[in-house]
Amino acid sequence: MIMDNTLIAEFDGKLKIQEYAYAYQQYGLQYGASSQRGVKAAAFSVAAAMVLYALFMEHFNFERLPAAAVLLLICMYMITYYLYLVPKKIRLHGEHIYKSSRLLSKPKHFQIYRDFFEMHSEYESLKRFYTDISDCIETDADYILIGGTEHRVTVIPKKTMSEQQKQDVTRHFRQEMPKQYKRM
Amino acid sequence: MDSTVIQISFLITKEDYLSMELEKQHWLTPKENKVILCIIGLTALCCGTAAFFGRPGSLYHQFGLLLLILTGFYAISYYDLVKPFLIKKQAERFYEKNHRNIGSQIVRFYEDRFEMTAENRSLHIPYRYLYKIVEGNKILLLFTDKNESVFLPKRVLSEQQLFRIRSICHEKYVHL
Repeated sequence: MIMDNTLIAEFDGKLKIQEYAYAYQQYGLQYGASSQRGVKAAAFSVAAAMVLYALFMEHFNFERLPAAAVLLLICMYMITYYLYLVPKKIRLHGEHIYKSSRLLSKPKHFQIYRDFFEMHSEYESLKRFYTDISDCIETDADYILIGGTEHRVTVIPKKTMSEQQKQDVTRHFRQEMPKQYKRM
Repeated sequence: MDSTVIQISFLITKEDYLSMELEKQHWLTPKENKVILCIIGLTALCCGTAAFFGRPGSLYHQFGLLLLILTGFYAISYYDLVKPFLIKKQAERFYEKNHRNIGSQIVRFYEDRFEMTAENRSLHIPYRYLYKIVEGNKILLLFTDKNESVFLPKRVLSEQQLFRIRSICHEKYVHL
């Protein structure tokens, strides 16, 4: 069987810390423990409402006040945590990862082929087939691909791509990874 | 002229993969998280138990206290029992689905750098560019940053090879 390795696009890219942190934040908000934070915040809102209802159920009861106050505080904190603190925490984690790495800041050369993409830098070469990609997130600034045995987050920056290249790559990713592709 | 200090080639087995996921998560989990959750769990357990037996109340009251006690147990055992169980199950599912792609690796340790070659990836970086080298019970993890790592199972290394790696990379080396 002949593999058609048609080259879709070829370009260079280099990530700065804020670019990587933003991409990592987008990935982190979609998957794992931080996903569906809206639902979790809503659940704690409901819990807070139930605590208030139970408190006032038998006309106001002073004995229940301390326990209710503690539970309400916990609910309020968790709502704030999921809605405001989690995105900030994930972005900060992305910054820490970038700072801990000597590879992420290196210039990279990207080649997008029909069946796979390749990334080359001074110290690393990566070839990833689209069948190994579990998720593909497109933002205004980059493409974020997650896959491989190590669940690696590969960020492909768009800033050095031409408009035609962006359109070609977007169309190609949508076509090759219809289930994994998501536009943020 | 540099010479290869150690060269290892191996196939990643299911056991290797499971051990890697467990030990990696063990390393990546901050110790203070475990301590805080244990404290919360103990507090919930003690308060719940004391109130359950000390101040009998309505059925709803007792049920709420029982939930508090169970939550305490869950919190205490989360990092040592619950999370490893969940990670193991997830890793097993992943390996079953992807074991054909996991494949083999060749790892070479030189005096000044380390190289890894797999089917779809190659890496050759100086030790000074590594973030950490973590030795667990069964796995050696070489972190290129806080999150990403390459691993090799200790079963493929002899005692001399392991000793040699420890001495070459001593600056970044930690034991789990």
